[in-house]
Amino acid sequence: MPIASVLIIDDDEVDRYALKRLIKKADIANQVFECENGKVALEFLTDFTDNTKKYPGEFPPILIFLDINMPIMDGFEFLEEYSKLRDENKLFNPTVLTMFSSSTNQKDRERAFTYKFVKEYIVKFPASAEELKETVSSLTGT
Amino acid sequence: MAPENELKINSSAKSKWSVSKKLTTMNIIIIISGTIGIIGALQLAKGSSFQQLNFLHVKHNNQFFDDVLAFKNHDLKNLDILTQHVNNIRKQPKECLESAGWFDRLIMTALGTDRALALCRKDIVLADRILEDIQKYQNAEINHESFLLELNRAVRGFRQNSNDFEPLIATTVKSIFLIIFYMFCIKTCFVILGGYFINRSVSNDYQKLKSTEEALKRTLERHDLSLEVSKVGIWDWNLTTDELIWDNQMYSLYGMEKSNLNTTYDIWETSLHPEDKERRKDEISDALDGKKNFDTEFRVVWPNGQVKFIRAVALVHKNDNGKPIRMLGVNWDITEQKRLEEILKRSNDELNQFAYRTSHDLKAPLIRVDSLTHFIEEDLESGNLPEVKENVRRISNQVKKLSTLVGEILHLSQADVENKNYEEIDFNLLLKEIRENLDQIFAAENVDIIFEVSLSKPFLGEKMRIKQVLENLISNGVKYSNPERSNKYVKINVSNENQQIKIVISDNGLGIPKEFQGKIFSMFQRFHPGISFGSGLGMSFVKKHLDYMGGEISFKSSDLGTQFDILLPKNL
Repeated sequence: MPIASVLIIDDDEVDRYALKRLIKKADIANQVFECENGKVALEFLTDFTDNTKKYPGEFPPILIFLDINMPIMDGFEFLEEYSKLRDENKLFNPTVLTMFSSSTNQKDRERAFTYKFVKEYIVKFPASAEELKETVSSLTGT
Repeated sequence: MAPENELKINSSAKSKWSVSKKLTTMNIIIIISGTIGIIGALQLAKGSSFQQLNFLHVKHNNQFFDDVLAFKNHDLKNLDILTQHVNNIRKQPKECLESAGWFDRLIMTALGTDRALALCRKDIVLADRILEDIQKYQNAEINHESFLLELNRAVRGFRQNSNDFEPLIATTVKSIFLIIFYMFCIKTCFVILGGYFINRSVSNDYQKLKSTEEALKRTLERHDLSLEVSKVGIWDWNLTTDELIWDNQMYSLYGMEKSNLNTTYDIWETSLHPEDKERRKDEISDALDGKKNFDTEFRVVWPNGQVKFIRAVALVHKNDNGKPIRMLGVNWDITEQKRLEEILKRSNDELNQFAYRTSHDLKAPLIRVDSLTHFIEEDLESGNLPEVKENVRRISNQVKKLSTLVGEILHLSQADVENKNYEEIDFNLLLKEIRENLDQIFAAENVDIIFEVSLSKPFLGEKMRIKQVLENLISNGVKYSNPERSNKYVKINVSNENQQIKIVISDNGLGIPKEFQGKIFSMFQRFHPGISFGSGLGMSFVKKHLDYMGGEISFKSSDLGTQFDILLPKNL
């Protein structure tokens, strides 16, 4: 059962493309949003009025794939700002985050999981669409 | 012989028989022999007095003989004369016996002449008998004839005793005299020999002392030289008197002139860096308690304000009760070492970070290419050719990125090498090459590269470094050009500026975002989201090259464009 929408936050076009393709292939979600860094993502997420109109039933995204190394605002900086957002607005409560990074550094993992809403840490790239589907199922409970 | 052993050997060869022991022994010998001599002399005196008595004895005996003769001829008037004379005779042996003490008897027994005393007793007995006989005659108990017989016998007896007495005493005296004589000879020999050996001993000891002194002097010379050259300072702290002595080196280690003030401890105390004071005090007390060896580093502040790093090592000397009485230590300067350690650490950290990021940056494009090839396979199966084309383009981009990064890594080895390969650089030619190169790579960007070189003389410098600097900055200008401008350009101007040349690279591109302007020369900084081309190492290389060449770089940037100003010293 596909979920409504996901958001991919990653600065690399190829990484976004590859993930989007996998998501489509595994039929995980109907809508895939893309943002090239944390700042753009925050702007997207906080623009309720426009986005709920534009994407009825699909905003805000249920699942967010978050990269770490990005210019302007990286993954961890985004997590800080996003957690404030979640505290202020209950709308984001159902949203679940997974990290999506090429970093295998243990410290990065630990740091990511200090945020309660980060439920998974996927290392680029998952081998197959099936694997991704399983991971997403367990994340979203579908 | 190894220098450090010189001193040891000399001091360990102590004589077991010290000079004072020898002198004492000699004194004892002299005293003993002297005493014996005195005793001997006394004995001689006594011996001669015995001889005198004997002489008297003979005289009296002669008188007695005359009396007996008179008696024989019935000429004797009075018997009292006889008695008197016999008493006279009796006196000598009595005196002899009285004056012979236990010591004299001992000597005579030893010499075997104690018979002399028995003779005296015999003499007395004889005299007593004659006296008895005189009484008997006076009482008419014996007649004239038998009395005469006794008297003659007595005379003979006295004479015999005297005769026997004489040689005995003579022997005694002679013996004693000989003993004393030999004693004297031996004593003299002892004194002479003793003196000779003692003189030799003293001489030897003096020689040893002298050579120890020499060895010490040589050792000190070596020691001083090594300390002076190695700039090690020695300090000596007498814990009982609380006196602290510094050698010259210590003063220079603490940045001061040597002074004769006794307040060395105060000087040291005030020189200590405030942050290290507590720790230093703890370390000293630990060392004095015997808990830990004193081996530490700390900072000192010179009077002129400079901060230096000092390393200190010390030993604690204790007295027999285990109480620390002296602390002897060395200090030396490790400021330079610390500075180099700091540089090394930073270098290492930089290297580690670089290695991590680089391997990461190398892996990423490869992983992407791998995914993209799978997608291409899928799309070929499903016949989605436009998608295949798009992915082929993507692969090509990734390969370009990888290639750039590898190229920059190769450059890294050259960036840190002190080359100093100077060549004459024709900037016109160099810039033309760079333009042709970039026009090929960045054809799509459509950026004009314009340059103007106004140098009177060709520039002498390291071509490789200058080429990389120019390439980097110019390609950045092209990469980060503003797509919304109609005439995108990168302008390069090379001119003279006193003893330097000035290179200005300006563009009308996107500019460097304000928040990153502080760190553009750090490694791995990329600022523009859509343009993640390149490793982010380029600018750090630019800085490295310029540092090596002694050049300076500054820039201004806004969203209207960026301008870099570079100054390079001329190499003559």
